[in-house]
Amino acid sequence: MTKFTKPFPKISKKDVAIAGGKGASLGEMTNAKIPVPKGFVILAEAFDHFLNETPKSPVAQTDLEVDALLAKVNFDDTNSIDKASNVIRDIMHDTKMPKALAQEIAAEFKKLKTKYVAVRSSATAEDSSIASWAGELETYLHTTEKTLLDKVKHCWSSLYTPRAIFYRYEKKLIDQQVSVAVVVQEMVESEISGVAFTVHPVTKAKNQMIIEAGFGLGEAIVSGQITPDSYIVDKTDLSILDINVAEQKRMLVRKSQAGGIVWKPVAKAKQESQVLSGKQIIELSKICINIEKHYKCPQDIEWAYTKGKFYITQSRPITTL
Amino acid sequence: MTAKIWTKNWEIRRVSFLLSHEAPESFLKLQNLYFGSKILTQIIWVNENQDNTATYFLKPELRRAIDATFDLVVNNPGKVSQIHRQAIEHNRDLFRLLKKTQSVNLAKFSNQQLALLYSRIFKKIQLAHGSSFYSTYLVDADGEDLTNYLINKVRQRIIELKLKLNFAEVFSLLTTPTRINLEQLENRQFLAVLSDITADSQAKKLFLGNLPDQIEKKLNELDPRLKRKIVNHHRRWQWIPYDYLGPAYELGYYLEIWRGLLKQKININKEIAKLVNGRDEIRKQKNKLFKQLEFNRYDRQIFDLASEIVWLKSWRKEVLFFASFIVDKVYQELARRCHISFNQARHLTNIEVAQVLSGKVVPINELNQRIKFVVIHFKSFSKRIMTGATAKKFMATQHFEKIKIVDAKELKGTPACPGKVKGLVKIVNVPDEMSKMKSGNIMVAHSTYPSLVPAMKKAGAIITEDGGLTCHAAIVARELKIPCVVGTRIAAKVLKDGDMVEVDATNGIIKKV
Repeated sequence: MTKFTKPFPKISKKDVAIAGGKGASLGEMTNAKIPVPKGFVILAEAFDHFLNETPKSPVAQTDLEVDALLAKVNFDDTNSIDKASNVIRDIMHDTKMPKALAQEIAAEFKKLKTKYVAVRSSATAEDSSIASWAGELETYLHTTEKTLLDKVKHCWSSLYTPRAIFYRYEKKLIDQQVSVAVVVQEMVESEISGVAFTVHPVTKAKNQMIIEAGFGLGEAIVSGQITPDSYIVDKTDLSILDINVAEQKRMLVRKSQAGGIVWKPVAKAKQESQVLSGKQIIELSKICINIEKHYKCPQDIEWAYTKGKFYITQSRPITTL
Repeated sequence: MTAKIWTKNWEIRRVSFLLSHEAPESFLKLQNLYFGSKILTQIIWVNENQDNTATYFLKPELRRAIDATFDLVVNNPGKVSQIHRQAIEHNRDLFRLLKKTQSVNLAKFSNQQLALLYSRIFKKIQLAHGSSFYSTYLVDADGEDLTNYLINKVRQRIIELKLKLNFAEVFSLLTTPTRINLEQLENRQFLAVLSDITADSQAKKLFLGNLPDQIEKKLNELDPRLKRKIVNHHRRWQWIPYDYLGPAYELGYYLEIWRGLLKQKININKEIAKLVNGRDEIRKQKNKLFKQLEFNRYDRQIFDLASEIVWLKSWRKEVLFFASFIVDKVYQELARRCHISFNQARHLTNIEVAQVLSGKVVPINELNQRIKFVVIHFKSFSKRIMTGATAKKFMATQHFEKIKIVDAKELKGTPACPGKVKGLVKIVNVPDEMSKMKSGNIMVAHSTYPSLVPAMKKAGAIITEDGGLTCHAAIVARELKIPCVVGTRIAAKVLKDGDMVEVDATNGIIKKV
């Protein structure tokens, strides 16, 4: 029986408290038949269990130890915060994962039938302002079964970075129990990726959407390092109103095992070609329109395409309208 | 052996791929209507970002074709009139098919039916467009042979008979058409609807008491018969400003103008009478001038043919704009079915349209290239469409005539509408440049076309590089009575924004001052 993990299909948006914001959103999308890469969430309880139930070695019960260390911090002194952070994080990394938990995570990993996963922390705080530093919690790409448990612990310990500690002190949250869930998700090696806005970002026309697409990883588009193709689609009859093809000479790709990203040249024949075919544009448009329908408000979507299939990697409401 | 030299004959702003691959083909195919044997064998058409930046002819061929056409117009006007009657029939035929197409629901057509419809329209466009090309365009296309011949005829006669007449005014009047084109017809019907609105107190209240978008929403409150007249007017004529690429007018455009005219309380019957009687007045004045100039039947026949040419050119172009509007609807439907953009669909050839509708893969990358840069080489009955590096390489292997631009203090052209004015130059080649125009400025353009009319209305004088008595600038200038010099060849390259010039449109001379 699983206790500490839940696969995406068993999570909904109501589960922020146990699966974190990111985990809840991925569960919600999976259930809405939105094609997100498969995965599971290591629930916040797992972290609590890790802190409370760990065997005594090498130190005393971890949560007490952490509390004691935090109590001694001089918050006017950044060195003192840094030192406490280092010690706390080291303790966590050195603490052995409880056996039952380790087994459960390994079993869920096997079900994904994938070599690499992305491991991300998913903050459970309901105060949305906490998300502002929670957003800086760690992400580990290209994680294998072997390194998985270690990366999970790193996600947990990211609650104790100097910045996170200081923020909680400032907001007078230092004594409160804060927890974090961890999302483990299949890695999608995008051949093509991009963003989509389900309203026209310039004219604000609600019957139109725009898709931007480029070869390689989406980071290059999001950060503006390449000029993507752009396609305008009429949402009412799924006709393509406009296609603008941009020349793309280089693309970002992931260095396989070592992690990190590198620029690679785009094959000469593809540089000036239209990145998505008309049929693909329509297929992606349908997915995006469904997401918008599900959330009942215009969405800013990040997507990837690999081995003949579209994946949605993120969807957020557009707040700037 | 000397290489064949290409000479550039025209450029057109904002042009469709439809026209680009349809027109030269039809010109080459249909020259047998005019000449016993083929004179033109090749044409090169270059488009960059939907502007036709150059259309080239082989220099000796072009000259021979112009000479042969001129010879026909002057020595055998009866034959040319007969060719025109055929061309008019082809245009009417196209117009009927377009009207029919306007009232069908293309979404209900099968792919095969859609392909068939496109092919029928395409063939009719080629017949309508190509069948009067030589006498309505080419004869004046290089040096304005016909215009100069007619001007000289008038001038000589005025001198011989010692008449106190201005030759430019006389020429202008004698070549003004007495038949109306579609825009003028629209204008009449527009005023007729305005008259109906004025007669209906409820409608008058609606128009005077609301903004155009509110009027549109409240049209249902009107008498259904009047509402139908209003809506139908838009449906029937919305393509008038379409040119080759659109857009058409919205219903709101007409509502706004009706509203504006209602507020101005113009005398509608007087305006309608002016439109109708204007033509009779011209006819009367022409007859008077013919008598004064002592023109014989033969002379009159040539001048009547000249005004027919002016009319036919503007009318056949209007039909072509209507066709562009309708064909774009077919492209839109095709784009939706084949999952390509409207603009991509617009860059398919007539043959490719049939192919993609029968399931063949759409060459999207080729279409995207065509949008950016395309060279079409027409040779007898074949056309070769080139893009990208292939097109550049082809152009590099051809020999093009170099045009020398000298920075002259004085420019010469053909007087199209007489008058003398001084003013600041504004170069206006595309609608985006129209905002520069202040009332009284001298508008200088390579050539003009319907979308530029708002700027032309403000001009103190109009100067163009292209020319001929059938050119758009000349026709509009005469209509608006604005001094106009056409056929200067280099004005838009030599003159700059802000130059002060003196335009003597009576003698066709422009001086920098």
